[in-house]
Amino acid sequence: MSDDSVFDVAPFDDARASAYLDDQLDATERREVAALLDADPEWARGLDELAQTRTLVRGLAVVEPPAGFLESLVTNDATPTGATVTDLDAVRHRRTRRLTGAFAAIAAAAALLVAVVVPSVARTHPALATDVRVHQAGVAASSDPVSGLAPLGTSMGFGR
Amino acid sequence: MASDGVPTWEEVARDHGRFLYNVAYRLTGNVDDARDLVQESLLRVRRGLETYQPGSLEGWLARIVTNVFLDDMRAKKRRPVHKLPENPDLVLPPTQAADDAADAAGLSSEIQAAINALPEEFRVPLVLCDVADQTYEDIATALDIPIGTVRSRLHRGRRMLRAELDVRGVLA
Repeated sequence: MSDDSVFDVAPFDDARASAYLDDQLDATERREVAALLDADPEWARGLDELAQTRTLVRGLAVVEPPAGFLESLVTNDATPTGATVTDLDAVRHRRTRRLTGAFAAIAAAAALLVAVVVPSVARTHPALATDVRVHQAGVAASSDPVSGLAPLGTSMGFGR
Repeated sequence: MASDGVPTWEEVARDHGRFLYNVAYRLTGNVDDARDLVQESLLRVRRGLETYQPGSLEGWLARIVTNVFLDDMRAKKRRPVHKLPENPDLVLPPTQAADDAADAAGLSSEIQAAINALPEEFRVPLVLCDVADQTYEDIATALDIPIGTVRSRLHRGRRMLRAELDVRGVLA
């Protein structure tokens, strides 16, 4: 190798070398890398290392699913958890429906509570009106202007 | 297969379940997570078949299984660190089927362990490229990253994997 060629050869670029191995370079880049591999032992060695790693992964055996697993997905055979994929989807829908039902029940209970409590509140109004009338009568009788500022002075603790 | 060229869900599960499981296992590194990943992926497949445009089915499946895997990883990161079992003696050993299969191929379990050791941003492109046999363009689409980033992550992933394999004595 001449001195000039040393400066012409690009340093090893493993991104390019990796893409070269995966056949993901365009024609121009591919020719350039091929030339570098011929010209520079560092490129050749680097590519060999990458190729070795890549080959190890690509050479891994296909991992077989556990026996019966895939079949359990397309049939109704129960998986160890008792649910197929089809069932799991249904389970999700059931779960959603259950939650919706729970919210509906809470809303119904709240509505029932309002229905029961509101009339009883209404029933308290006459008593309240009576209290006000009694209080106002008391204020009028005593001619106390301060107590008269509070409509229910006695029951609210403003009475003297 | 339906007349519009779109497979039925059952056909996908039956004919491509093995592919899905293999990719899922290489991504997760264990049987239980791989099973969960396949189940969740098939749920998404069923929903997605309504809008699926006939093309590279395995590319589409690889995208789905990758997205499920990444969603799961993100969810796990949000959860607290694993709690140790109260009684470790009662913990069942992992299913041996996949490990046995790996050991039958010699150094496979060591190689899988080295893959597991990679950060997921490098593991995923590597598995998609070298296990699922996807092009850089497919990987870029699946991960929503530029092709240049795929190229960069792949070579860095391979370099890290080589270092891991070296530490484990696989390359000796």
